[in-house]
Amino acid sequence: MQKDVNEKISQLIDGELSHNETLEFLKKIRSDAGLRQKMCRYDAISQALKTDEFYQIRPDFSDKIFQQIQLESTYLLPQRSPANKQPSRTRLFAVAASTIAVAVLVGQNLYKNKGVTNPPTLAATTLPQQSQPIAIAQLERATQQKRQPVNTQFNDYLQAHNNSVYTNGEATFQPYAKVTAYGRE
Amino acid sequence: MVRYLFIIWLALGGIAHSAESNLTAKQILQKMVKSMQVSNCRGTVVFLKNDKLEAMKYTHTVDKNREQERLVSLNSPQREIVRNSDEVKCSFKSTGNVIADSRPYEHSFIVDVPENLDGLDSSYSFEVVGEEVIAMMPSFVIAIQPKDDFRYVRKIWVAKEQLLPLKAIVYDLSGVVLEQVVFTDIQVDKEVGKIATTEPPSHLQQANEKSVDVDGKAAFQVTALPQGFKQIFFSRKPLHKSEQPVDHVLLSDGFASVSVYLESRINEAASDAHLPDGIHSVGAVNSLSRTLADSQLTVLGEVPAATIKYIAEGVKLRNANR
Repeated sequence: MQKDVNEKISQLIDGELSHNETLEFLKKIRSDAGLRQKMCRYDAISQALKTDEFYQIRPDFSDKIFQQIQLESTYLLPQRSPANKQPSRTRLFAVAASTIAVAVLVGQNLYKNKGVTNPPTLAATTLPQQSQPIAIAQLERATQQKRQPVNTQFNDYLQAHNNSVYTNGEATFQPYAKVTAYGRE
Repeated sequence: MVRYLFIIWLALGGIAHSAESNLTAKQILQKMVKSMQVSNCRGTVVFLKNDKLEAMKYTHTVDKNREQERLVSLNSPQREIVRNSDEVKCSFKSTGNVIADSRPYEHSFIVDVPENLDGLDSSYSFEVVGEEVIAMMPSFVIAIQPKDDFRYVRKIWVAKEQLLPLKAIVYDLSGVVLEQVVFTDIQVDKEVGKIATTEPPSHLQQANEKSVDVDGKAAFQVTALPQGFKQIFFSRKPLHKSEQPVDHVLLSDGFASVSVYLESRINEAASDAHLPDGIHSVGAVNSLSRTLADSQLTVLGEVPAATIKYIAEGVKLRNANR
């Protein structure tokens, strides 16, 4: 019996077992700790003979790693408690004070630079913010102007291709068509 | 006497119904094509293309073997599109402009089905896959399944009684709806129709007649075509605002169509006036542009991008010196 088992291990390491035999024997190894150890030994001998190098791995190597992973603590993102969601009164005062300070400083700066006779107001701080959408709009217009020839060419092709331009609400199409050769069966 | 007549009418109706039920998908589609040519009908049709919904009033009239299709948009931009045989005119209500077009390769705004379907057996299979009610009319559901991945799947809903198309969908290869046209209501008029005539428009933009075609052949050859595709149309004329002519070859397999365009890049000062090289997609339409000698080649159509690429890679200039 023992001889048969040793022979099976040897055959398994040498890859001489059939698919079904391999599966059956691996099942057997899984349920038998003694057999698992023997398998490791045989594998180590085979490795040493083939490569002249040997790294011994303890039989419970994978089990130990699994246990360590289980012991690792789980880190979750800190969740803000409902109480923290309401900004405190002190924090609100701080934000308001900072905004007023910035407004006054920017306003004074504008007043000095432009020589404006009117006193600076809080509205002055909104100037840079207002100019931003205008810049974006100009950029978009420029991009559209640049894209227009490409779209026009594509639309021209689509219009020549089929009648879908008439029915899909695209009103930018051009007249076309002179049939020079046509055949239909 | 009345009772006997009623029984005979019922029996005839039953025979007719059972005969209709036994029709194959191809027979239904062929009857539909015939019915489209001879029916006077009107209704409301909705087009869904490129994520845009367009509702229009539709009229089809036949008078002395002359057909007229008329579409009136219900939403802006308000326009009327009229097809008289090969000629299509689109008039804009707000500006009074009219665009006249010649389109000999199209026969309907709703769905174009070839009269002879026998030649398409190598590319498509046809099957009645069910029965549904569309616009309160019982209809056959016909699936037009491609036999390869070079074209899209189509379904057409055909009214059982009138044999008119009520709905058509184009699906991509994964089954996603790409285009759809559906009637929300339709009435078939039994009276003989009368083709509407319109006053000559004040601002008619005529089709460009400046053809510079010499021998009826494009400057290029399409050497690789998927099964079933063939050339059905060729033109050489300016397509854009410039006078530069563009060669246009239209290929079709009966349902799917692909256009191949070739235009010179020499006279164009700005290189960004051309479509960038590469594959582009708009709804069901895929296109590929590439440079061929000193010209730009663009292939586009309602077929998968792989088909466009396959056709584009097989395009060769007839004269290498061009």
